[in-house]
Amino acid sequence: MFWNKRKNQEMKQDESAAPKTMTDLLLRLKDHPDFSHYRHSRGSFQCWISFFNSLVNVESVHRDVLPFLYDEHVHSLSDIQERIPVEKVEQTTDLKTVQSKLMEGSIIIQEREDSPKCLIVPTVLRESRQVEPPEVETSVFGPKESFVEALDTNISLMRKHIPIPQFTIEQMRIGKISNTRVCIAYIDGVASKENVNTVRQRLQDLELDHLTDTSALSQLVADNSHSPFPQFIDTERPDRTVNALYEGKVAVLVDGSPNALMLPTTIIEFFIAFDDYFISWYIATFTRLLRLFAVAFSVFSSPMYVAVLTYHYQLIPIDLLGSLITSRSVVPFSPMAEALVLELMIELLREAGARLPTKVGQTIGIVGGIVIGTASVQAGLTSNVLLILIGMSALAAFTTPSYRMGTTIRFIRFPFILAAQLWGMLGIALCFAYFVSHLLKQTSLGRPYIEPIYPLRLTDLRDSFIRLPNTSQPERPMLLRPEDAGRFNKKRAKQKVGKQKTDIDE
Amino acid sequence: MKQFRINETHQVSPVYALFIIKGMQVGVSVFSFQRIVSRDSEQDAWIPVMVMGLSTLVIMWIMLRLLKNEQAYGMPDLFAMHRRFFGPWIGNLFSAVIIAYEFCIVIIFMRAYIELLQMWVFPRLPVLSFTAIFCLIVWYIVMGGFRTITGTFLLSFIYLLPLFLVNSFSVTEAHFNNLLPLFDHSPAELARSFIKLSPCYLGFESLLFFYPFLKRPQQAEKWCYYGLLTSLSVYVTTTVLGTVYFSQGELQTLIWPLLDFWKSIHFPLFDRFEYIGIVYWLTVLIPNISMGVWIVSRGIKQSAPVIKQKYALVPVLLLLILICVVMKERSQIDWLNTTVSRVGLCIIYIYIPFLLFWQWILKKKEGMTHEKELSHHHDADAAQRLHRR
Repeated sequence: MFWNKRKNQEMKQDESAAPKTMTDLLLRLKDHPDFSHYRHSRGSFQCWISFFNSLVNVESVHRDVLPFLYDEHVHSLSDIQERIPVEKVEQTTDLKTVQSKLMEGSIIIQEREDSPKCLIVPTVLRESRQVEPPEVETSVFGPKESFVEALDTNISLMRKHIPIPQFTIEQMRIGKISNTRVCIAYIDGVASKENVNTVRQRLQDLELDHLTDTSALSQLVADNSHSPFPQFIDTERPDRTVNALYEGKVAVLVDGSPNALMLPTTIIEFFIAFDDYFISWYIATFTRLLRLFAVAFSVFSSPMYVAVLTYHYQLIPIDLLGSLITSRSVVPFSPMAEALVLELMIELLREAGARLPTKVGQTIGIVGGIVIGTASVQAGLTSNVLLILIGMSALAAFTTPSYRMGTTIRFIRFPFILAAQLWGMLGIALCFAYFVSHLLKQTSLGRPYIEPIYPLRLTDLRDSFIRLPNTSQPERPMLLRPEDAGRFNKKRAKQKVGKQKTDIDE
Repeated sequence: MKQFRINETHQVSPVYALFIIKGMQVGVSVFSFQRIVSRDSEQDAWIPVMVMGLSTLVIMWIMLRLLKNEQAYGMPDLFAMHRRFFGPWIGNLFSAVIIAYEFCIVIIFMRAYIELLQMWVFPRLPVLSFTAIFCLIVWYIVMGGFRTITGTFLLSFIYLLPLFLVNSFSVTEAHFNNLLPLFDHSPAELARSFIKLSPCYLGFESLLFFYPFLKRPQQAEKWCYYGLLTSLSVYVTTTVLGTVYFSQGELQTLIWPLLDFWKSIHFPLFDRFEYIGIVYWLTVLIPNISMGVWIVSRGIKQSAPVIKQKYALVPVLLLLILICVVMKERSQIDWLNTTVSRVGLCIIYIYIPFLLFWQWILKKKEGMTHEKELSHHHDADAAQRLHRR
């Protein structure tokens, strides 16, 4: 086709734009202010040295590289390679390698300026933020570390938790221009080979020019990128990532992103806070059920209000009717308009709070919550009952530990409100049926998205809405099809607990 | 060579046979069947309900036998069976009848639910827009394949569990004396109830269509029986509930006795439980209709392999919408209802045993020809040997 032809020509031009010889490359880089390229002619050996000041660790260059060029015994590049106290020094004539290494922060040493033979000395500058406590996924109990933007720091954070050689990290480059480093991390022998292959395949198949963050990546590799429901969890907590790896998941890290992606994920994991594993299982189960109730409440409360007040007034018990009538009697709008206005107000508050700096954000909360809320009731724009419902449902939506899921839950109630206005409870039921069938069809890395419920797997239900004690969970999740299904030996664990006491005081 | 096995990624575990069979049997008819069943047999209504439930177990045994034997010859489902038993022409004709029957069941379901909604919740609910939106959801589910449909069956089973707990509200106001005197009706009266009751238990014959989609069919057999027993228990408890909660005279005046029972339930936060119940029943309707439409579209694909199932699905749904809109008269629905339930009775009690019998005959015949061929070969060999000598 003619457009393809044109595209191909463009691609060819792209390639022709790349430098063809060493001189070409150097000529192009010379004008950059942070590029150093000079001739070293003192001592017994003469050579050309080039590097980016901004990318190399200058201190290390002055200490570990340059002094060795003055050595009397240095006569060739190989001599330098033998003497420099830097690891992974290599010689090459390949222009592409030279270019990419130069852009990463290595020093290039040549004998003559136009010679393609180069010595590459890696002196990469590693500068990153300090490891700080997590800000998005805060927790009361447990470790207080979070990932930073530097990939190597993140890997070291994980390696400390998994001190075995089976912990595998595969590196690949994604992005035609940015060439971003992306790592797949998993424990060999625990993670399913199939999952690892799928992740690798999806990453390799990506066609894009640059990659900034894992959350962008998660949309690109998602099974269904048109779904409002997030399909992979991205976390800033190394402990959570490591826990997922021990379960048999695969993690993906991107250089320059303080998040790790955990694949595959079920919808239930979005409602699990990592704290739950650090507290007694009764309390963990209680909080999880509370969150489940919160989600249901948050999605259904305002649509039910609209449905009941618009169509199904018979549903209201007589005792409740009086207070409803008094709060509704002054409101001039229909229940749907009222609900939509209040919901929008909460959305505005949330968005404003997220965009503003923390200190101003608090003021916004006070202004929004107290001033607008009470004032709108006093002005007769909304009813008290609805204000309580909406306030509670906003609170409930944010009990979801994953902010990403929280926003989804807040979003899906708008279709519910519209459906409630259309056909009352029937509309809500239809809307619900639609979302449920959507979730039924959803997959995450080819695994069912609502897994312990459908397909019904009782062993996985033990760590879902409820959390049973660790001793009763000797198996890894069946969802992940781990190569090594057992966490520990069940029989031995039972033996160590010992026999039940035969009687009181014996 | 045509592939006889469904890919394992599209199959479901044996347990789901329970949810599907129970889900196919318990439908909208639950609301009205207390009245229908007790018209002739009054307080003894639970007897025909029990007998029919137990008879379905026998039919299930026959069906499982039929399907298990068929596995050796090709795809173990009814449409493939028709082709093998009666040849492509007559077989496809039979398949067409079955498809029409399944389609009518879908229509009856849909119409019955719409009627319920119009009577109870929204008197002027526009049929066209409701069926259109409903069919859109059904289309979305069926496009997800058999696994998604099974998922809706499982979820509807889970949703219904709390609804059956509601039955316990009747215990405080029950008159168990209503069940007496026992066995006070002639067999003819019981038989009349039995025939009227049939639409409630129909639906389990859908096993004939989805059997190839079950993993490890050997293990699935017990779940099929459990599914039947579950719906049997549901129907028997509902019948007994109707008898002990209402007097016989009152029961005959109520069109949907179960709804009237729900009406008497009060919760502190909301009244009129039956509104929620009716809307809740949508979760029962969705898997049922999806399954019916899936069977119909799959039947079209199996009989005429040129048509892909996803293309067959759209006209089926459009036709469903059209018929639901056109059919307005109560008498038409009644006529369709009685006709279909009679055809259904014939299918399960006459046609399915006949199929097993026919299969047996075919096997005998095949065995005989096989033997003949063998003996023929034997003769030829002997003759050759003789000749050589």
